[in-house]
Amino acid sequence: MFHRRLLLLGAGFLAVLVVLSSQLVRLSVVEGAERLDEAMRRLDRAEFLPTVRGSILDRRGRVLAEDRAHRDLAANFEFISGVWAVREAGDAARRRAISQGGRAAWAALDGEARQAAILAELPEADAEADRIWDAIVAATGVDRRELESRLDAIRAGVHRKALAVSDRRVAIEAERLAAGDVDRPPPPQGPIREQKAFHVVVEDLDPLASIELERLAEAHPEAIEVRHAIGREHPWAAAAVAVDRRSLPSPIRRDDSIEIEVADPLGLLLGSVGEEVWAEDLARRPLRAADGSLDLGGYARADERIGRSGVEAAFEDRLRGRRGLVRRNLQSGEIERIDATRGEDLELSIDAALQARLAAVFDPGVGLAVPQQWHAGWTRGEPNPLALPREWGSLGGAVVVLDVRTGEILAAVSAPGEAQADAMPPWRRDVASPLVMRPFEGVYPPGSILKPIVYASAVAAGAHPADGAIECTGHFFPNLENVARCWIYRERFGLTTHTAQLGGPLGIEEAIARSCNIYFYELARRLGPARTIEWLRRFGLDRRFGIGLGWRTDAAGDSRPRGEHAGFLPEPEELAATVRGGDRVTPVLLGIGQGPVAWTPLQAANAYAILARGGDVLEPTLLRTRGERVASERLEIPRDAVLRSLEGLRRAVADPVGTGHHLTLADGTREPLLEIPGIRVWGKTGTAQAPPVRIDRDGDGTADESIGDLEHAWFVGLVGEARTGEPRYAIATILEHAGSGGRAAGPLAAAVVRALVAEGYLDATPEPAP
Amino acid sequence: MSSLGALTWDAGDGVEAGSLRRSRLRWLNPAWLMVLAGLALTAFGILAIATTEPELASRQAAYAVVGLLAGAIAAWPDYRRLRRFTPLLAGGCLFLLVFVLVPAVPEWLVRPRNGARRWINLGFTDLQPSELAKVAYVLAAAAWLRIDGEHRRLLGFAKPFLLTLVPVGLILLEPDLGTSLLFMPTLFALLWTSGARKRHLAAVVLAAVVAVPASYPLLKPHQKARVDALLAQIEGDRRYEQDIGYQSARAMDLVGAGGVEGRGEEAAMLIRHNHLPESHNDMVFAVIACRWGLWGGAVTMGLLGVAVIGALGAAWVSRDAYGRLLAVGIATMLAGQAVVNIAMTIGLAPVTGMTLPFVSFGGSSLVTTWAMVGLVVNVALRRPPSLAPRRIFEFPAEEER
Repeated sequence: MFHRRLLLLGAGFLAVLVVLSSQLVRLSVVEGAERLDEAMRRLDRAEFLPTVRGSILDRRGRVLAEDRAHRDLAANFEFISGVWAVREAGDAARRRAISQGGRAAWAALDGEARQAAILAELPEADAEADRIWDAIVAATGVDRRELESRLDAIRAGVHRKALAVSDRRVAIEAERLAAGDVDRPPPPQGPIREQKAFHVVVEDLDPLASIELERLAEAHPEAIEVRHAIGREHPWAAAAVAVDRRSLPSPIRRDDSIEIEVADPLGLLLGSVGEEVWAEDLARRPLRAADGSLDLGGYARADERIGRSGVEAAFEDRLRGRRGLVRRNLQSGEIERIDATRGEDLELSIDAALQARLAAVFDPGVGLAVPQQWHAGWTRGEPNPLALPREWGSLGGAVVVLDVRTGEILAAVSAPGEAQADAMPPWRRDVASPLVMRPFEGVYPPGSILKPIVYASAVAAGAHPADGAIECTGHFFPNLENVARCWIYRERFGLTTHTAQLGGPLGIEEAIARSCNIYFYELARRLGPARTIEWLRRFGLDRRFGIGLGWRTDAAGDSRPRGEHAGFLPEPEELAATVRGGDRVTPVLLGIGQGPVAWTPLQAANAYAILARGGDVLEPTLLRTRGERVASERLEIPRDAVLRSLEGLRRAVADPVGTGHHLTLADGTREPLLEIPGIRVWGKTGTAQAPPVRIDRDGDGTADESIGDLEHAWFVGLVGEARTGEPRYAIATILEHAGSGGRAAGPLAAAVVRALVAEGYLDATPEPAP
Repeated sequence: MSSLGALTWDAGDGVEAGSLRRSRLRWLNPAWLMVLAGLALTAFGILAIATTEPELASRQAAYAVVGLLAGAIAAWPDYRRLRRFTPLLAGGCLFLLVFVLVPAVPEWLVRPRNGARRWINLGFTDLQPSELAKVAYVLAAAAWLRIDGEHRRLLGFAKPFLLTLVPVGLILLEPDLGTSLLFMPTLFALLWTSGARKRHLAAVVLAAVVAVPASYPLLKPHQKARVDALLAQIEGDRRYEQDIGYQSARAMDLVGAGGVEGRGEEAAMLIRHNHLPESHNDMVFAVIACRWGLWGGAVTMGLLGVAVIGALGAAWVSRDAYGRLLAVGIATMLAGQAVVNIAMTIGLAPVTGMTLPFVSFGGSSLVTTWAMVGLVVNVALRRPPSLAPRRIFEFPAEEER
């Protein structure tokens, strides 16, 4: 029995050996070649070569952002924190002891004696550190206090990070011990990377300082170093623009031109390049994919440069370039080299000089974009109360200029800029939103500027004849005098109607020029909610054009979307439901751009450009197109309707009864708004309800003042040369909380048109005699 | 039955000075197979360690000398004399196993590594009581089971399992899952060869088959993850390779990279840059397979086979119950260790800390292994006294129901 069982035991063991052998054969014979490749691949040592980010140019080839190599002075954190001095003192103490009594003397000292010896040397080491800092200050010309505060910031940052890492390590170790997983290695200990690393202390050294500091760094290589770095230069970060004050409204007209220093007119648009790669970026485009493949345009380290906002972020993949690679096999010594590819240069449709000019228009020194009495007007010579107090300062606002032929965005300005906001008192800065790129991101109710679009839609949809006339009855619903009124049907105008003024029903030209509400309520009624919404969408409402400034999150944790906004329109079913619920007013309100509709200045300019093209849809773009673009879609708007609405827009500006014709001053004199020789303007004013502004003057976090009954002022239109009569540019301007569209935004629009002339986009040669 | 069961601890099958003198040494015996295979494996191990850690190779050579010495000492006195010291040895081992666990023991004496308390610092080297416990356990179990027949009753069969739980539990607490897993198979083999009833043994096998999957929910998360990774790995799923399955994935790549012929000298660079952890220690088989290929791996496994067969052969020729069980226990202990180590290196078992006998770097491991070889030689050398031609572990077939 024993021997039989012994035999079986031995046989069992041999059987197990056979199983092991078969796996061994599988690994080495069947999968051998593949596993050898895998193992050999790990012998490759890859070294990456940096790439250069592409430049951003404007439409005339001006450089807006480019990479430039420069030299920075970096200091080791140990030098910044003072550890360096202690180490130096230790070295000095040891050298002294050895020189006096030989190596044995130093070895014989106990801990306390050594410490005393080091402490004795410390003042000298500290003095040496001070001398190095003095030399840095002398060479770079940096203010000593400024330098100290930079060092404090570095210390604080590293300290915070070290604390966080330490907390994390403790947590990992606690979890490991709790799990009893002793085969897993414990977390690392000791200083974090930043505590051993060099930190940039002075950026962009001039050549002389660089030479001097390099010499200093050679003497103290463990304290400081001069390093090559690549920075993003913005030649247009500051621009000086002359603003001709002779053409301003008379209250601020002067017989001169003033020079305005515009701070970073392109800053918000271009955006910034960050130096930290987030987990989302690594997930989106990793240098090394999970399957081991390599994307040289991908991200790897945590401190790479990456576009964080604006154009820099939107066109990151084109601007970024691809890094180079030198791969060396440790065994064969084979070297494979892939050169770095420079990022693509990006040619924007923007004109930097025009942009700077338009940004200057918003400068409070010019006076167009601050609360002015003519915004509120006068009643019998007495000033009406201002919507916002004068100390409000710069009003928010935006301008977009689109090339009608190409859909290119020539300029997109948002006010107030960051520099302006920084100069504001805190209570005002709180509601200034300088980081919102209003032309694409600011969403406002359209108000009356939507009217020509509603007309074109109604005719195109067959709901209204192009030459149809409608009576202005003062109020749209016969039995309801207080809702859906025409703006003119008010006490202060004597409850009159346009029909009464004209002695008959209005054609579209008069309806647009006089901005009659009843006409467009009726159009909205005839279109019905579903078709109104469908046609407004065709004109580009309620969607993003994909100009590139996409929907991005600001930072990890802050999910506020940034970039192009789609605006707002309800779904047809939602609107139909309110009608079924007995609401007759809301659907017709859409006809005058009120109710549940909102759009961005870019969408407004785009809708007018579509109208100017007779229905051709061209998506607005931030990139230079070079040459004609093909319309993505054609809206079948009868030519007659296009011409009639353009005529209405022309009369709104040119006819004394037009809402955009003149500014009325204190003494009752009228001053034409957009009378520019040689130039033809087709424009529409709009006044859109604005939410109340809450002011927190004492900064306690609760609003202590709320200003209501506010309105945003729109002026949207087309502009061209009088000699050709062709609309060339679509312009959208908005001045927030400024009140009436014509009075407040009109002068702003006039300044935009003059800027287009000044930059050569319009030839103001007077109209040839007919 | 009663005559067979008359043997006791004190007066073991006539182990008197006189009877020991009467036994002559049988120089021609199968245990030398084990010695030869062990010498070859030890030499092979030193070469393999030199591949990645040249300085450690010379230390391993020194350990080998100590190991051979320990083997000679273990082979010298008649193993039946050693039995008297078994309680002492077992007690001492248990004491040390408890000692490493006592929190009050100062850190300079028992220094936890990565949270595991396995080593006692002796100044010149570390002592791993669990290694010592393997020898002590085989000695004790053999001594216990040699008393014929007891284990053929249910209670007598169950008792050794319960006793085995003591060292297994203590070693698990260190914790050292790998080592603790060796004891039960060894006991099973001892009971099997000592004639335990098949139905008892079958019940144990059944219990194990049921208990292993049933214990999965009781595992700690990291242990579950390791099991999951292993199963994925066997199916060719490489998704765990960067974390939990890293060590074994790298080992498998290097075993495969060796191919049939082996990479020779360049294996060193491959292993270094593939970052194989524990290449000189638990993962030494991967080094062998990478450097000397399938042939190297096969020769290693073959030599381990010869060593185990040699030990089983020693049991075969022994006519003494204690000697037989001693040889079987040692054979099983070494076989289990070799199988688990190779299996985890080639991706058939989860990675636990376990050395490859004779080959892996480490003093405790090598000395223990050679001491075991010495014991097997000891058993094989001693002829059974001709006065006791008893049939050992032979039970009537009708009892085999």
